[in-house]
Amino acid sequence: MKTIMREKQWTEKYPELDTGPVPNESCVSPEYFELERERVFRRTWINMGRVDDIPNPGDFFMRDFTVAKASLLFIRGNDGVVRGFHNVCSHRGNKLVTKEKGSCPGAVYCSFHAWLYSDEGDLLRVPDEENFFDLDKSRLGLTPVNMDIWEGFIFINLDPNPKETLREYLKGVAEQLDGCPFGELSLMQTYKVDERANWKVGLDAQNEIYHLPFQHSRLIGKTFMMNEKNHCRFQEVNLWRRHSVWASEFVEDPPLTPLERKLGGFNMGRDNVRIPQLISEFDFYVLFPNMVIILFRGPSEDGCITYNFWPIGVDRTVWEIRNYSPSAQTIGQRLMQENFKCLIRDVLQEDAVAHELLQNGLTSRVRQESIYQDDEIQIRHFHKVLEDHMGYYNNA
Amino acid sequence: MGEAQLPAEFEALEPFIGWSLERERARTEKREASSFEEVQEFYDAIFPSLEEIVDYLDGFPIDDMPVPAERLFHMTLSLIEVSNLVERYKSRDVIVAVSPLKFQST
Repeated sequence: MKTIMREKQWTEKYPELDTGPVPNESCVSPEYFELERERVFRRTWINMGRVDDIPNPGDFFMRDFTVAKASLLFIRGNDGVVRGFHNVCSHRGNKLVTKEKGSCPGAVYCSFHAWLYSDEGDLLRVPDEENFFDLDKSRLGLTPVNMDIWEGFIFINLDPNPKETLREYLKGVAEQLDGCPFGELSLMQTYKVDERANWKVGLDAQNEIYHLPFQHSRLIGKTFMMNEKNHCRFQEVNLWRRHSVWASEFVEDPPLTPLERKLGGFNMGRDNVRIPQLISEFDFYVLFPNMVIILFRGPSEDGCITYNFWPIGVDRTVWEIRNYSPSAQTIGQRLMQENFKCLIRDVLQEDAVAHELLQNGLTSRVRQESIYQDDEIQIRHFHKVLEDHMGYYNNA
Repeated sequence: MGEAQLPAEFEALEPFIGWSLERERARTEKREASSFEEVQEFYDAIFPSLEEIVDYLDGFPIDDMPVPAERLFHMTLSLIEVSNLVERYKSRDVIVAVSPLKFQST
């Protein structure tokens, strides 16, 4: 066991964060939500998906980035390069692609007047071109968006002049996870959960393990490392300028179900993927503002889960959950992965109820502030970073 | 009874062929549409054979099984699907969670 059980240790590590209550207004105020569009979502680097989502030339995915009032299109061109564009026709601004995902080998065309673009974004053909005036097709390709890729994750920034490169923006996380074998993991499942909750309510609720022995008592109440009073304790917490990670060990002798006892006896294959970047056994990164990367150690292989919280309205969010595992070589390995995936999913279904209950309670505005303990310091940090971008309470 | 769907060795599981579902969403729907007693009955029927099933399926390439073996594999995934309900919750009444069907899988 590497976990130190001492109380209030993280606040000693980060004394500059105070210990007082944090205002709840950011999760219920329509005015605050309107400001977030511009001050957060149109000025930061936002993860849109992965390069593995579009492995072949002509593959595309479309992302409605509702909170930023933008729609983006990502295409792997015939030259193999992934490019990002605004999903808007150069002719009269029509939304170009309406399918979430697909393949458009060679070309994309607009449904309105059939203007045709190459999969590299060039305007190829305009019907009735002779009847236009001074039309310069070379200047009317698809509108590119500021895009960059880190470890296979595609990010965009809607600021016309981003203050930082993606690499600078990811400071802390990037140094910790450079070289992480994300590309060796396959996407097993994507879930989208349409929640009646502010995007930060879901994110904050996920961003701690204080609640596990209570809310998830039947599923994972005794899974994460706890002190002698059965309260979860992190092994490590790192808070960076924007982002954060907490890392937890699993208990040494977790109670196994009859199914898990059987699964543990099966052939799990050889040379399975291991993630050397793991700090502990369950590492939870928050990439400000709305992305989470979870890395975990399994008995025979490691895996990854990502979340993207997509704000729709002040009290509505689409929570996107992706589960990545190595390709299974044996049946035993495949069943172990399925078991883990179903367990996590069932846990998150309990969480989804909690997110909406929280929103209900907050919307009543009976309590103006939330109170955080030492093993929730990462939530306190997140709200400080948010306020750094918003300047809401200090200028109010 | 109609024609056998599963490998002959697993004939006893034929009555549960309705649990042989390829997609996770379909397995979740089946779990939700079944009473706790029906779920328990399926679990009790397949769980004791799990080692034999895995031994049998290990005889084929994981991505290229004969159809009867693949049906057995999909049925085994349903065992995983229902295991939390049977082993951890032990009753539908204690569950405080959104409907699993709210988790739109793509």
